[in-house]
Amino acid sequence: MIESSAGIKLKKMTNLSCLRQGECACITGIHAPDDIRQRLQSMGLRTGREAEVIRCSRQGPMQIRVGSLNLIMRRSDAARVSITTGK
Amino acid sequence: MKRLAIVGMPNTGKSTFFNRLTGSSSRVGNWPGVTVELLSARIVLGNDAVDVIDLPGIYDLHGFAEDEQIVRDFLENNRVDLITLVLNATQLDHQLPLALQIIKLGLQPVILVNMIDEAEKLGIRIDADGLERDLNCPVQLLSARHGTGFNETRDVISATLYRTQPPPLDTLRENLHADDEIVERADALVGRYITSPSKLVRKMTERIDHVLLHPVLGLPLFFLAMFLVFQAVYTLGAPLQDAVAWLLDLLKAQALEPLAGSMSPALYGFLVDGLYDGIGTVASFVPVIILFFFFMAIVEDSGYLARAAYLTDALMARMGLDGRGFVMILMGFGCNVPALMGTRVMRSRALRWLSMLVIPFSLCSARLQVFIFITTALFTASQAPFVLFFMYLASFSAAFLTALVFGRRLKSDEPFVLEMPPYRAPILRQVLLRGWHEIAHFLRRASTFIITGVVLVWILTHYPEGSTPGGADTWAGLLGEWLKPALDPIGISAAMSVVLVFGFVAKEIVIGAMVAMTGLEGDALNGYLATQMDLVQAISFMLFVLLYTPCLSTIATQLSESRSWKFAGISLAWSLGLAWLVSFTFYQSARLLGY
Repeated sequence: MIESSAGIKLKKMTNLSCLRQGECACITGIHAPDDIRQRLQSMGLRTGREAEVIRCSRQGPMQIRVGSLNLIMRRSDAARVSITTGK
Repeated sequence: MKRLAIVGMPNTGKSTFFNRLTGSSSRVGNWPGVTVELLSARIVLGNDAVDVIDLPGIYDLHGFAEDEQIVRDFLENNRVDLITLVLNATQLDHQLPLALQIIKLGLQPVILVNMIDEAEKLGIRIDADGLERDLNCPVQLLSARHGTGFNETRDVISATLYRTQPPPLDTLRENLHADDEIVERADALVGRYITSPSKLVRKMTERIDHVLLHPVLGLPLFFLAMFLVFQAVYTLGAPLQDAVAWLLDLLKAQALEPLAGSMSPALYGFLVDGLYDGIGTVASFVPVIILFFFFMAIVEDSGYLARAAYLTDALMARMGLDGRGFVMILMGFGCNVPALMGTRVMRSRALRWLSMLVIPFSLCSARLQVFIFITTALFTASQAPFVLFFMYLASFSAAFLTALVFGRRLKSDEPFVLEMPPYRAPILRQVLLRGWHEIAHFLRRASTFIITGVVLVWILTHYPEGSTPGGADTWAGLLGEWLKPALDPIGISAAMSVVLVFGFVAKEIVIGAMVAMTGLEGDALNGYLATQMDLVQAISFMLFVLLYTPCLSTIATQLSESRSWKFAGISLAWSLGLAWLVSFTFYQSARLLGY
């Protein structure tokens, strides 16, 4: 659950807000102050989990599935979640 | 007295379980170390009375949101004999960490895996015995909505309650520090005891969402749904309202009027024309209010509110609020007080305060009574719906204006992440229970605020002795004279200003006060109102009532939730100022235009 070590790899990765409808990716970290990171983690956005974008509205939030959870989140918050789409 | 606390994440059916366990006997109360009121009930379990406390829904014992702090404070300061932890069977991978946190505290909970019916439909299988052995605490499968497994669960809770010893509070306080490796352990448990399809597909929910969350049609459909709800409330409510009025009249004619001879005219005037008619007129609105909450409960239960947050977040973000704020404004249409309490899920103080500044402008059901009353009295049947629609528009505009004005000062970085529950058919029992709570709520208010307000208004408008009732020489008349410089420019007459003073306490008093003041009711009162205000004045009056302040309970809630006199003071000053300015602008420009 320690994200800071991911710094070097960051270039190859993208974040959750870049995904389009129907795309999947693996969460690699959350880049936010401690309290916000804790909030996002306790809502199910944990490193190693698979996230799938179910729906994006044009300006509004995205709907994301993580495990058994269905979440809506703002793009700006999704941008804090780094992912890897690597095979 | 044993004490049982119910803990769980939001959307686990925690409240449904609480309601099923306690029936309709719940009440709110204060607890040591906790700054807010919690819902609790006393029930008989086994051979003894047990206090059951419903704690707020939390995601994490160590989170930073107010709700999470409340649960921690409660556990640190109150002995709890047993924790009942409610988990959502369809999301155990996400929920087990909370269970492990609680077990680690040494609290030995009874774990209720709720919504087992939904889990079965989705093809999830749960090895409850395995979990029970591994976690070393009772695990029960149930559906609190439908009652499946409920009786067994109650027996297990009862048996465990008398068997276990809770850890001393000191140990608990020490244990309430961060704990590691919980997620890994939770994942291992899920792998061992829960079998679920690789992808959970809720066909029905996805199909409905495909339409209701449509990028273009979503918002219009939402407003259409809201419109239909209001339409249904009025269509069904009007005949019920007449029925209650008829019943009260019948009671008056049969039981009260024969008493006229046996008491002095002054006492009769006070008891019947003042108190009985005043409260009766307010009571005739109760069916509309109950219907309103009925429909609100259905919308809330169905899972649609989370969709409303999704649809409106982009708009709300521009005003420094988020989709949850919009949902709170909607809840505020019922009553502002629970909507204010609902902001506890927000972690950032700035966002919470901004939402709490905005919510009091929601046109709540008590204000709605005043508006229905006035529009029915003064406007034609075809005009009335437009006037009401205009008031809702004004309510939204005031909320948005407030957010724009204060948004710059109250900026936040609160993440907007919200769980999207599946659609569920509302359960009649829950909806009825909600209706019952509203009736109880009204009776409580009627027996305190409304009676006191109506009595005071009657005294003010009938004394000193020898003055003409409701005239300029009464105490009320003097008060009206004194308020004249402020209220004259917005077209509110001296008589109506007394009503406004009491409307400050509760909006229901406004109507009751008009009856008590004039000794008139029904058509006669409508006729009197027409002499007090023309249509422009009526709208100005309603705008003022909408904005000037919600009610004393709302102000008290703002104060207790923000714990800041300054915040509550600014909120009150802003709404008073805004109300006056809006009414002034409307009234004076309408007059200038020759209306």
